[in-house]
Amino acid sequence: MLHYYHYRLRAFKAELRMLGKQLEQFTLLVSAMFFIYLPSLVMGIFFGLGKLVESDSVRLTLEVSFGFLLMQSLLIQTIKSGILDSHHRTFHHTLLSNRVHKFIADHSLLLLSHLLFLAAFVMAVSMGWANLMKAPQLLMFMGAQFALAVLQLYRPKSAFLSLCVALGLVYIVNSVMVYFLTILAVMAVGACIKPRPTHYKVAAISAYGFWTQLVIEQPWMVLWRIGMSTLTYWCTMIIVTERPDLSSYYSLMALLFNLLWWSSLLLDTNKQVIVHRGFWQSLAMLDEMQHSQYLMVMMCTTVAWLIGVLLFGMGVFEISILLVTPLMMLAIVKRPKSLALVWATLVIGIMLSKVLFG
Amino acid sequence: MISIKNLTKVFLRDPIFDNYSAEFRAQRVCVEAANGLGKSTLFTLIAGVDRAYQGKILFDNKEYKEPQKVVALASDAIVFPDFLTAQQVLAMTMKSWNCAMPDELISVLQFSSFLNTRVCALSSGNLKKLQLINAIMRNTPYLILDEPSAALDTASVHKLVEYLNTSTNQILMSCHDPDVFMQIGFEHQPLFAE
Repeated sequence: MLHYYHYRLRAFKAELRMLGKQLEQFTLLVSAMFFIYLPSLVMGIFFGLGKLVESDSVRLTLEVSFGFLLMQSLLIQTIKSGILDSHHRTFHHTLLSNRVHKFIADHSLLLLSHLLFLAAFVMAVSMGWANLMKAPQLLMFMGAQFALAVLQLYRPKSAFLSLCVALGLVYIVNSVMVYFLTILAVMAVGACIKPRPTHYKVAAISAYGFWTQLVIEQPWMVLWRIGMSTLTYWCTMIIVTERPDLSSYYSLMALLFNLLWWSSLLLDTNKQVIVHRGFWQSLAMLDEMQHSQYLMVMMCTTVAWLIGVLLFGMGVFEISILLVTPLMMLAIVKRPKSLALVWATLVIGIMLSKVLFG
Repeated sequence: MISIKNLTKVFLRDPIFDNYSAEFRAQRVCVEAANGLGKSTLFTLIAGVDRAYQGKILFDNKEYKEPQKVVALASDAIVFPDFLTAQQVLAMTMKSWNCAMPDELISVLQFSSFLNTRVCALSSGNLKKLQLINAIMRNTPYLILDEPSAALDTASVHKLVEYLNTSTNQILMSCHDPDVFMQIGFEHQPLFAE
């Protein structure tokens, strides 16, 4: 069976390479712009885990836990098809006589790529057994991390529901152990419920009906953006609380990230327009589809911007972000590869203006 | 009658059609050419699905800005969104062109039980049926069928032929097994004149 595990590792690496290629330019630019913050980011992860182990505030511990669970869901979803080798799943059956190998390979690759679990594991090891026994919530957290990740592979709807419960519990529960036990219980129930294919159909299918149906069929394209916006605003709120003197810069940066998350929705919608171009032409709907996607993406970006403005306040530079949104959208449609470059230019331009004239 | 005048279509620098002219006069034409010579491409150009070309395409000597108003095309070149059901695809066509649901054709092709199936879950035969229904239902003056019998079972091909025999529009098609269509008056015409 060794050949099967070799194959899975190769397939995983190939998928990662492809993902890396897709994000190459973006990663490079973001790393170049924020490279001085990268060590802080790693430290921030361990700082967050530290809050989980030892904190005076239960609410803060729960918030940090939820933040980590949300972040891991976003990361795992990105590489999920690589972990499962989804595109060739049926091919596995031609190699295997026993499904156990498939699950072992799935879980091994999951552990290998679950960076936040590995970070918690490193922390647990460095604490030592005696100290770990004094902070059992870290073990519970790691259990929740792994269970949620496994659930996400095989029962994505249950994973989403568990995340919603986890968010709700932050504001209800006042004990860390109760919090994790409840989440684990919800996940256990979710794992036992077999996924039922539900297919909600939009009654009147039109241009907007099509986009609605697309979101229903591929909710991930909106969910990850909601998740990223939530994390961005949440992190910014923490930083702004710590450094109120720099709040106007950080909040502006949060809005700029938000612009990136939501305007890039056009990458997904425009793909539908391009791939089915012949179909839209045959219905004389090509122009309508193009206009409707611009309007829909602009609306989503504006709503997310509005939430940010309500949280952090509004000024000239905040408004300028909304004004440059069409420019960003135009760049995505005309030259999708230049997305990172255009965004980076806008960030530098707006932030520099803020420093000089703000 | 469909007339092509001085058509030039370039694909990745290679001209598929270079100053090509042709006339399809017969009411039912089976366009003949070996694989890869541009039949499907020509059909997408005539149907207005692909507009990137030079030259003129005339329908009874009239040039249309939006040819898809008068031409319906059933072809693999029209990729349906795979997450929609067959019914939703047909509903969009109904809405776009104000036509009725072709219950009779759906029944003739025994497609009723697949209406609620998503495009991605349709077999190749049923996907072909959906393409055919989606084009024929519009009842346009010009109908183009690209390989209509490909992937269809024999019974379905015969039913399709019977159905087409009742239609009055001009039909252009490509088919590598055209004998059954010849029985209802299709005429051979090579893509490129000798």
